[in-house]
Amino acid sequence: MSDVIFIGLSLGSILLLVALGLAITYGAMGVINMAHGDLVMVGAYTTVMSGIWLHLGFLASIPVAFVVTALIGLGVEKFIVRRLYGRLLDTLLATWGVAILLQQAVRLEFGVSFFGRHIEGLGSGLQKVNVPEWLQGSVTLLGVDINIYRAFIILVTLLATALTWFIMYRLPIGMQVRAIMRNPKMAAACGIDVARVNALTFAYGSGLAGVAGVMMSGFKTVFPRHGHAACRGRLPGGGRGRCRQPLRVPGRLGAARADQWRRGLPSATTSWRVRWYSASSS
Amino acid sequence: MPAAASWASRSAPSKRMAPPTPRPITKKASKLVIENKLPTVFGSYTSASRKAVLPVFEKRNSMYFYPTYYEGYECSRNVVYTGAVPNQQLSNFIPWIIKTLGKKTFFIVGSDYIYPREMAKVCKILIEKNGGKYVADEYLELGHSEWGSMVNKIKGSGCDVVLSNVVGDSVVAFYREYKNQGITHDKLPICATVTSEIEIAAMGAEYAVGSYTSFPYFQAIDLPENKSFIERYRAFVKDPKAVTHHAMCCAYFQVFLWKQAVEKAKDTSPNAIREAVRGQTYDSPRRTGEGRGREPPYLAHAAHRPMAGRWPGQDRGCLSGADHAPPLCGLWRDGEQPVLHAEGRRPAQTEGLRLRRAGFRRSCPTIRGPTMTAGPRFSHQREIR
Repeated sequence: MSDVIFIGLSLGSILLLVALGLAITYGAMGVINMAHGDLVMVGAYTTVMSGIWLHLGFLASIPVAFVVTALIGLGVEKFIVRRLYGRLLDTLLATWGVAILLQQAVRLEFGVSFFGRHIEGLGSGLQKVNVPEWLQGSVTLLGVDINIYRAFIILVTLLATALTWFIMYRLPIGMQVRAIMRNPKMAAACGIDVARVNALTFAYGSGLAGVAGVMMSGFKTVFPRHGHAACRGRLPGGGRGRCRQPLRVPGRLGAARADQWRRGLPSATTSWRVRWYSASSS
Repeated sequence: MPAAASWASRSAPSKRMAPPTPRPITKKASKLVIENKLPTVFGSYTSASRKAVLPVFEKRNSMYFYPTYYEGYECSRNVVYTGAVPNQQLSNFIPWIIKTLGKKTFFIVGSDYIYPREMAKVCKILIEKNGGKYVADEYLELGHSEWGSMVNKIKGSGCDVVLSNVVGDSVVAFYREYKNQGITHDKLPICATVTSEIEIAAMGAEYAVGSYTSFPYFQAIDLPENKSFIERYRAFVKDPKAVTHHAMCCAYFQVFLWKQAVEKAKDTSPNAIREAVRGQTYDSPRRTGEGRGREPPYLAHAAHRPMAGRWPGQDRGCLSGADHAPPLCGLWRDGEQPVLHAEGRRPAQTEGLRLRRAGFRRSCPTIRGPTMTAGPRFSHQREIR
């Protein structure tokens, strides 16, 4: 029983880590970042590449991934999202485009090893992240087998949540973010630089996606669609499914709920055979 | 136009009535076959993609060479299947696990789609035939990466071997979770049917040390053909550490089979190739032993010699006395010997699964190859239950 609770806790913490960044950008500026899953993927690739290029270990790559994805987030905000505030569907569409761009760019440069598009030291297709020895295996605590890596993820999630809380409720910038949440125009009238604070919030949310990517790379493989399963759920049928997703995310930010909904969907619309066959594609 | 309104009104009902959009692979296959009028196309990777393109090839009578191991129950006139079917991976592997490893209680686990489910079916027949038993038969969604509760279940199930039909990147998550929960392959080995060199490289060999895989081809096979194959492949992808695996090997030798068929028939038309490709043999990278291991395709399927490998290193030869397994892509009636058709008795059978669900059990037209010496007995009869 306690095993099950622990596994549930670690599952929830991974989802929380992924959803935290998403929730911040949505809560603060009403922008749903469809590229969030792909920022998770970029974070995971940053772990792989910082191991190869900078010879950094797993732990040291966490801040690197945060910085890289935060910078990407900053760029996305500056060039795309900033122009679309208050237009929810347009931001969805635009960030979805960013997601596709990111994914295909990574696929071209890091994803396939054919045709000379190969980066020194990378394996082909699926990438691997080396987790330090002390994070592998399990320890027995009060008769319960605790998986060390899962415990580590829970710890990181707690830290990230605490840090977010601290920023939001104890720092001046957090106060500004909360003011913008309540009423952006009034906040601007009070002298808050809304554009700057929004950009920073977006960057911070993206940075959290990067951290989630590092954590996920430790128990999964890393490949261009890495972030999909975590963030958006996968609907059988690829293209059609993805069009549906914009509708799904605002409903509930938790990936778990989206997943449930998705499971119910195909039975209503497609025969069992289509479902069965299409499950093996993608 | 108000975007929100149009979206909301269009969501569910129109989807239900709209005909299914053709998959990209079907479109591309149509382009190759219909527009470019290609007589032969060399295949794709997943069963889903094969099912999606089959109608195109059958309608236009064009040949399709499919290199991946697959679930059987299909024998199209227009496909040459060069990968292994379930019995070619399992018919020696499971007796070997029971007799040589001495593991008798199986936990079968797989990704939830057609291939692992068909594999599990064949597994169960073989396990019972060889005096073992299975405690569970569990599936997780394809691409699932959350294996915590499943590994927990395995731990508490009392099994002494795990038979894994897990596919794709789930494999990596599964093996990592397995080690992280403190299970060692020495005590409770994973015996896999789909875990290839690619997945091992992606998870890190330390997670797989001591587990087993059954495949007709391993990168570690010590043959000049294989060494040169690996060398040339690595030069081609410009990666000195690139790995080769079973499906890759089949994708490689099938082109040579095609070439030999064309040379024999002096014609590239689909009908000529279909006839000429039978009985072709080729010294592929997975040739084993003296004079054996050539490829005698049984009408549409290649013969394979299954081997078990222990990771890392894929020590071969674990399967003592293993010989060519004839492809039994069709019938596995519970507890009975498989029955194969005589050649040409059945028309092309692409909807095997549908018919099977409807109560039919049928096998594939097959001819004996020249080097087949062992394996289950044949009887050349038609069998419909």
